[in-house]
Amino acid sequence: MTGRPFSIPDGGVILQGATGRIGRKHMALMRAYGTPIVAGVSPNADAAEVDGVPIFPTSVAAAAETGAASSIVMVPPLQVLSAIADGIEAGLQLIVTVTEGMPVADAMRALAMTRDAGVTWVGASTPGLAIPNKLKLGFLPDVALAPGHIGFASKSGTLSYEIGYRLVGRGFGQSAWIGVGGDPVKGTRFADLMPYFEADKDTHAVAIIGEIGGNEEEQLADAIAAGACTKPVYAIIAGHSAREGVAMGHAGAMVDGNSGTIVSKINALEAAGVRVFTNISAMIDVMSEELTDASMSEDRNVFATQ
Amino acid sequence: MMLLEHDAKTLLQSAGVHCPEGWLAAADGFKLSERASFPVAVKAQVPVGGRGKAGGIRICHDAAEVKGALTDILGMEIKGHTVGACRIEQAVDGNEHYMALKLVPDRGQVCCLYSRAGGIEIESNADALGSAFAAYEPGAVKAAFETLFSGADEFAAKALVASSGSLVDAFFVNELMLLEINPLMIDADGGWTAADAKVVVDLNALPRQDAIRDMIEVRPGTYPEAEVKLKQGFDFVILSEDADIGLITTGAGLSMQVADELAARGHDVFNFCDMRTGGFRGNPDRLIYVLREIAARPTVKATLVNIFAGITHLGEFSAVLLDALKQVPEFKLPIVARLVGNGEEEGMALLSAAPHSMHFERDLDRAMDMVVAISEGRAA
Repeated sequence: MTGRPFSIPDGGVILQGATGRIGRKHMALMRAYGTPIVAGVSPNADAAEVDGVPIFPTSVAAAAETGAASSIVMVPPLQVLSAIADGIEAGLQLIVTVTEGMPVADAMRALAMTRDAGVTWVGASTPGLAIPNKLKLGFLPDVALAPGHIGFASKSGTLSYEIGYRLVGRGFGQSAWIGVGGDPVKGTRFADLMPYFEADKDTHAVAIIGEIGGNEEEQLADAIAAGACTKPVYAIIAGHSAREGVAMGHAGAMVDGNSGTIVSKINALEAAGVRVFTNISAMIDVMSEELTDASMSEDRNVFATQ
Repeated sequence: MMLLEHDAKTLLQSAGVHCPEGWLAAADGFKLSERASFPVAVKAQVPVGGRGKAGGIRICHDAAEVKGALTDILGMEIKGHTVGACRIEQAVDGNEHYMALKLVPDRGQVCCLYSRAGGIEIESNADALGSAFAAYEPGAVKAAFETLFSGADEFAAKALVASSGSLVDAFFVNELMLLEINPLMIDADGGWTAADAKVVVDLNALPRQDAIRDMIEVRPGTYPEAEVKLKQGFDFVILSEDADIGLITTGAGLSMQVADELAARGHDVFNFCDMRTGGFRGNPDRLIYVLREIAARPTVKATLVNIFAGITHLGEFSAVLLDALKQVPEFKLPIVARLVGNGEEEGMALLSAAPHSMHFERDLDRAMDMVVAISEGRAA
């Protein structure tokens, strides 16, 4: 049922939607962070290059020219599906789409397409992913990123920024940070990331930033209980104060009857041995206390000066 | 977003689903259509299940009973929702079946559900509930449904194939996330009617779903969250009308978390919001909207501004907030501002110019403690 096992390919990255307002702004920010953006894509580009990065009409052309295996997509909501199709045709291994507001029907089609093609899709509606000090695909703020040993997986951008930032303040960075996004139908779910974190030698512990709605946290609990991740897992679940039947900002963050409730998620995760929190400070305190062998990488200081 | 039953049935009817005739009543002086024949059902229009058990549905046998039912049900609170309207509809006879389609996000498929034992006790008749999965494609979903109807007699089978076909069409045409009919009434002649309907629509599909967009716009106040999203491009949800703390926050996850942690301190918050500061582009409209909403609630005593600026510049944010505060002079509440990230010094310096009682606190816990203290009158 699941597609390609989650991984982050080495090598160059294509920015699909490179000439839009958001694309231009974030191309500069991602490159400043060190992300090797080797090509931009814009179907009706009026420029041959943006800031020295060559622009191609399709990902197929961009990948053929540069050999890139990943893309970050920054196009309007109704264009995400066709951008993913273009990325698949180009033979990419990883496609990250940050756009908020992708229709669910399009997400269902994108999910089928990427699984059939064996392509990893992260998104939609994610702040992106990062391996600190190495690359950043998306919006993750530099101030919250630092190399370290905690694997981050989050539905929410802002709540994960807050937690990442405060853990960095306590000397804990991240091995990898993957925003799975707040949409109900998405390319990569919490459970899909567990084999990656389990195998990654830089990851000593996992932080899950979850929220009400859907059953992703419950499935994560099942995967952990089945042995998919033997490393310590800490989770925070937001949305205790939500009203039933009303989506809380994220399209997927909605309690419907007994489904998607915070109690269901906490119970499932705790039964799988996950330490679950509903308070940020409590989570930070416990992680700081327990993860003594997971503190910041030695090259942390390189980052602290930025 | 869950549609009210009345809108759900209107939407389904236009896709060929048989629904009982019904009328929307928003006041107890409602005059019943001459086409109505008794008995009728008076049903509270709230976007949650369990309305019957909560006393929100009543069968009425004459006009006086309808009037009485409207008087009782309108204004009732059901699971945090105030009943603003009732649907009055013809009662339907027949056997109660259950039929539903829902998206299964992890499988990337549609789940078809059918039971010959529908009705309010559906959950206790789990043995009768059959399910089948299909790719996200109408033909595949219709075929999957038909595998669930074995054992039905000739008339029922015909009704089941016809009704499931219509439901599948409605599901795809309207890009629904959930469509549940319980009960689906099937009579001895093979006639079928969706007696109740639960429909979850995808707000992200609104740019290409005109009928649903019209429903949100035509009766202002019915879907307040969707209205704000449509008109202003951000998320605003009223959590508690008599709370004492207002929120101006960005990011859905962190906003939910702040609401949770204030609730854990014994203080419900008036609102949740995700301002999407990245989309401001200098325009104060979103902030003006929120400030006016908060200012209109006399119980609110203090407001917490929490912006973690990863990309946004806090100087730009604060300039827009100052502008909005000037344009909403009726907002006079003390503000606790927790600004962290790009340009925080500049942001704080700008906000200091506001005439409001302004407290800056970089630590989120202390900021929440402070807004609680102000709302309790322990600080000013």
